[in-house]
Amino acid sequence: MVPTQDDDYVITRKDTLYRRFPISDEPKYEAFWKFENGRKVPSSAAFKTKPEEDGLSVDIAALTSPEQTQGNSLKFGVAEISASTPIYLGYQCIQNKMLNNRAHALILGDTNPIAKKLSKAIINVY
Amino acid sequence: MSKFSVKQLFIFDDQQPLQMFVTGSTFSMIADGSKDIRNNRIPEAASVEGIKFYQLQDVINGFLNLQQNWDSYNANPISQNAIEGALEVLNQLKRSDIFSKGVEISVFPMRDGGIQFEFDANNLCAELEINIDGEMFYILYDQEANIIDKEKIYSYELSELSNLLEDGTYAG
Repeated sequence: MVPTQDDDYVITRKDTLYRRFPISDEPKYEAFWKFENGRKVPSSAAFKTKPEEDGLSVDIAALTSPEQTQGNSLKFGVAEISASTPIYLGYQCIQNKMLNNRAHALILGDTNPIAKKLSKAIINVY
Repeated sequence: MSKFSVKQLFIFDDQQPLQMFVTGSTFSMIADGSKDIRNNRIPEAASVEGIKFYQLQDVINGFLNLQQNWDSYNANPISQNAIEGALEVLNQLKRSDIFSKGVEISVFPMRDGGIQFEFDANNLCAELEINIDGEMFYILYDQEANIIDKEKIYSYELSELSNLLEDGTYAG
């Protein structure tokens, strides 16, 4: 995906962010989530950037819906976190529009040190 | 008449969860080499811990099926080194009897091609990351999910993992 030119939405602590995660399990016995307090939540691994990445891809909830972020509901779930969590931890969250996704944003930087916090800060799972 | 022959029922292979084939009497006979059909020893594979072990083993082997972009955010396929390392860790956890010590163990693929173990208990929150080269890093968190310790573990030190988990209680 190619970023578009104008970045006009400023993410604040009041925003929430969506992060897609795989949910398929059987018959391949792939595991991507676990039960925590009765909820199916993704592992912190879903919030860890790869070494070459500029940041962690998310969608701005105010500009999209869980269903749009989810795409294929048989393959993916959506975790919602408050933007206040990464912002409070010193991470910048910026809109990073894509041609096919105006809501796309990045939590800038290496998110490995805060991935556990992000996974614990999940508000909703769709 | 069943569509399976007795021989088919007892073929163990890597693609099928072993626990589906195990019963107390049959497996204990095989494991012990005993001809005494009254052998009532509960086989390891039929215990809760044994089942958990084989489930995790199956999950890890299943990571081989993950293709590029498996998370829709361009995650990498899981490396063979990471899978071999994870199976080594799993065997060590079994040897150390961690499965029966109240620690919830989960295993997940990592976006960079590594594998991550998660250990959760009343006073424990820890991870073991295995990167694409098979290198291992133990990460201990406090109750607020702050990293309080991160250290590299060499494969010859894996026997220390149980000690790390037993020592790893929340700070404060």
